[in-house]
Amino acid sequence: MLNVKNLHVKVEDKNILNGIDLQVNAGEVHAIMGPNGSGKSTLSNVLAGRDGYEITDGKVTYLAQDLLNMAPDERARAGIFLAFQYPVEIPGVNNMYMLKAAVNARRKQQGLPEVDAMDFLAMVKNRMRELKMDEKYLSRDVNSGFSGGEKKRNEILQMLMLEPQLAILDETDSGLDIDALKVVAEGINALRSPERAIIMVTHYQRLLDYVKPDFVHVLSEGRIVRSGTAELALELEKLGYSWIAEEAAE
Amino acid sequence: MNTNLHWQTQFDNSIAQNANPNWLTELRHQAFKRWQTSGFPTLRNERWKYTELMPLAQTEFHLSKNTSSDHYQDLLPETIENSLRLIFVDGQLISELTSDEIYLATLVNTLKQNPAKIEPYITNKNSIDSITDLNTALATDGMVIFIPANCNFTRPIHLIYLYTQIQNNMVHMQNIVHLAEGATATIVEHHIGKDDNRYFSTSFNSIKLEKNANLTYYRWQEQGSDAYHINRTQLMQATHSNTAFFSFDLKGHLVRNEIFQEFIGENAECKLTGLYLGRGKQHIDNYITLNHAVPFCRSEQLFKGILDDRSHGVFHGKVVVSKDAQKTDAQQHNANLILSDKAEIDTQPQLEIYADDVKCTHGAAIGQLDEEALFYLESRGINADIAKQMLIYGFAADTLQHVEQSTLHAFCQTRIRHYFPEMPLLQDELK
Repeated sequence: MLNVKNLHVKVEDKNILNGIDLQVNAGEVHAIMGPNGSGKSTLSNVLAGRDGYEITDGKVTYLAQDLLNMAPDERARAGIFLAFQYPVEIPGVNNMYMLKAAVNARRKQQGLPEVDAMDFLAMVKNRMRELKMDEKYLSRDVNSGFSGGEKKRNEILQMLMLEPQLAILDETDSGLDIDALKVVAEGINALRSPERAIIMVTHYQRLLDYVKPDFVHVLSEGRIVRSGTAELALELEKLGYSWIAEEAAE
Repeated sequence: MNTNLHWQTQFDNSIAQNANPNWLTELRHQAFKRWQTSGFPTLRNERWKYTELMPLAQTEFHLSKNTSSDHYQDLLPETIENSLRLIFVDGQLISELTSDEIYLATLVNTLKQNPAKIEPYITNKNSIDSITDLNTALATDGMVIFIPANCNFTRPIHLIYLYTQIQNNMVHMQNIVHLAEGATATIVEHHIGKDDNRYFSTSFNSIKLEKNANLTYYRWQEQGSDAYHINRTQLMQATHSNTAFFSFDLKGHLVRNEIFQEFIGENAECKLTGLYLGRGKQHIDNYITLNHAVPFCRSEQLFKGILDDRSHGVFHGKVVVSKDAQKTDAQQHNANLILSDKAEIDTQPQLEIYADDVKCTHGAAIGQLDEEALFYLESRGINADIAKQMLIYGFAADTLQHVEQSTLHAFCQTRIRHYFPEMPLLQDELK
């Protein structure tokens, strides 16, 4: 589904990613771990198409398309979803309105008619119940005045409504208490299916207790220095990141 | 034709056609005389520093004749649920409406039947500049609304002024609103005009709230694309009265909106929210003065502007806190979104404080679209152009957060949405 080859990325003349290779197939859940500043968020942002990154080398293919040539909204309509580390507040734009505009944009791309208002409402309310979100958040402005945890739940709500092919979760676990973490993890697990893939970018192992990854990659100084199964995350939890960096330096 | 002679003819015709009480005829003559001497204010006048009225001075405007136009239907705004709707076409009320609970009549009829009721409002009009004189000399009609003591009038009163003018016509209106002690009312003043014709209109409002009165006032200005419009509101508030005033300037070629608010009784509150939307070569000037003349009053002012293309916005907001006005709480903010290199804003938030125990803040901000928010919407599959519209709309709609009545909220939202046609319209939009 997603094939990243030798990806090199610069931000303001500083090399952040120095040759990433990553293959993600349908049905897989990948965790990308690493210390602060290792390039985790850069990788998520580059995949979603955020401005401000200079791609100096490499190629990214998504469902046989050249991903790096697509605008962010095209990528989203093609099934890529980025759950933001810091979801943005948009005063004056209603949460329900944005959600529906986004779902309809995706449906239009797929040649489907606009979503039925009643069905949509029933579906959203259902999802909100699963995420233990109060319905009042629907009529509020996008993320405006939401607490950190509410913002993260709202990201997961959007993800569940948009049903992406490839979901990229950027530090979704940060700032969540244990109850919220469980709820969010259930939301992510609900998305798992043989047709979809998920990339979880995280600093800590704790999310992986609830969403078990098929593969774990360790990022250090813009390179994947280790790849393994879920056990690798447990090792990291025990030993920290420093040994990996040392090993990589050798 | 000599310009003075032209105005003289207009004035003489107006006097001849209106059988006013003597005091008013006299007042109009005096005002007209002053107007003939001074003419339109120029840029040298400090109050008009940023707004050029030269094109007005150079045009010979004619007072609108009796309306024969049937072409106003397509200008009509949506109906506000449960509202009393009064429609003026080119300065004339086309359908009378009465109410058992409140006094509701045209200025013309009030002058015929009960002139003493409104005499003080007309004679005490604050003559700040020659525009006041012009309005006094030429305004012959408008609405008079008196809400009796302790009357909670729940139906919104929607005053609709439509302008279907032929080229170079002018209309001058005068409205008087009085809320007696403990009265509550919602009034929507709505100006909508036809595009492409140059016309000139002034609309003056005298509003007074007695003790414990509550007023929610909406001023909508959606004049034609070549319209010149000057709106002036004088608002007086007695003890424990409460005003929520919303001002929307969405169209018009050259627009000046003035609000002169004054607290004359303690513990009163005034919330002023404004939105102006400039496109093309529009010029929109808001000139706001809040006067804390007495202690213990609260004012909150938020004006938001969106300026695109070559439009020009002016915000002059002055809060005066008199020496005796201790414990005043006054906040003022002007936020602008500039969408083009050629658009311009002149903003002057001002505080004049003569008391020492007060809480006052003011500020102005000028910015562009938030790139982060734009990326967020795009990353949800929303096309960049639509996402931009959504953000601009969001900036505008943020002014509606203090609109408490749900029917009015829906109306305001719908009205503002007309200016964002690219945004997807969803059948069942929640508020």
